Amino acid sequence: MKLLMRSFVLLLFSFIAVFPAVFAAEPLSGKTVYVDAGHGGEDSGAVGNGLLEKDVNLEVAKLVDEKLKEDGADTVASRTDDTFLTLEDRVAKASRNASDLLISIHANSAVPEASGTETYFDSTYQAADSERLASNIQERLPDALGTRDRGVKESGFYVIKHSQMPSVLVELGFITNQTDADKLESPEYQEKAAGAIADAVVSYYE
Amino acid sequence: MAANNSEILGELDGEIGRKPAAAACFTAPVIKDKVRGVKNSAGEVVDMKKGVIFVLFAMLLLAGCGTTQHNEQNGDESRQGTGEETLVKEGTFVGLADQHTVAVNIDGKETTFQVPPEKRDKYKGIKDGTKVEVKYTKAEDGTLQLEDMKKKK
Repeated sequence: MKLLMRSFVLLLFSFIAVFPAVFAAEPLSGKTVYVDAGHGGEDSGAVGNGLLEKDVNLEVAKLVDEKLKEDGADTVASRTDDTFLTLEDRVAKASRNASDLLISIHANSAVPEASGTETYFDSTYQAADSERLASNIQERLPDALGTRDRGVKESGFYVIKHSQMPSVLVELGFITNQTDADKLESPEYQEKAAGAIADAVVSYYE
Repeated sequence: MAANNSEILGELDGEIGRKPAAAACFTAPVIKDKVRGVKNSAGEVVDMKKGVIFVLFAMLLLAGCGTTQHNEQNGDESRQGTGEETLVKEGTFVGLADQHTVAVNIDGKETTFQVPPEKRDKYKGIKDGTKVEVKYTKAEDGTLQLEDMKKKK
């Protein structure tokens, strides 16, 4: 009986010790995050400095997906290859999968001098939470990429306007700016960008 | 053939090939003072005038080819310089895909257009589902570049 009691106490102690660690290792457990790689297929998005936006978006989105999974999230990808999806399809897929968050990955385009990173939210649904997620991303992403911080902005882009869960659209950098484009093309910087976005999601749920 | 040549030669004014007894099968024609002709490798007399006409025709043909090629090059340069043809289509505005892209449903298919920086603010007020007319060009990289988008009445 004494042995049984000792075993029970030991088991209880082990459980108490390990339980928080399990949750600390998977801070996004139970959350479903929808990762949308902008453009795709016949829609290349912006083109510049030898890069197609759809390719950059897909590479970074895949890395974000991986990192969110490592943090315990269930993830849903709008696309995992070079496929065209309508804007309505993207929103519908997020809704169909009961996603808790939507993150749309894009790269910007303008005159060659324009550069930097910006994150958008829309106020139609979940305005406050969308803005908070956008701020969390914007606090980390320009630092990770070493790009100009263009701030958090509000705009009614289709996927964030029509999604009913908190949602943001990230413009990683300008594909038309040589310095930004070099980073967007670099696997090292793609990894850094994905890490910053995943950390922002973890921070959002803390 | 030789006979034909002879007949023709008989009508020529050349001096070249004036060798009436050169070939056994050749019945000496009544050759005028200036018969132009040369013997080919088979020993037949070839009509010099025909040859000249052929050469001139070939030169004209080659010159023509050169002109055509030149025009085609000019055409390419022209297309590169002024951009591709502007196309106009009607459709339904779907929305803004991002900072630089608008989506329009044309003939039941969602089509995306890249918007130049100076025109981006202009289209932010258009409501989803609005009937629009788009003017655009297809760039060499395959993207559709929006030149203008107007609401249809």
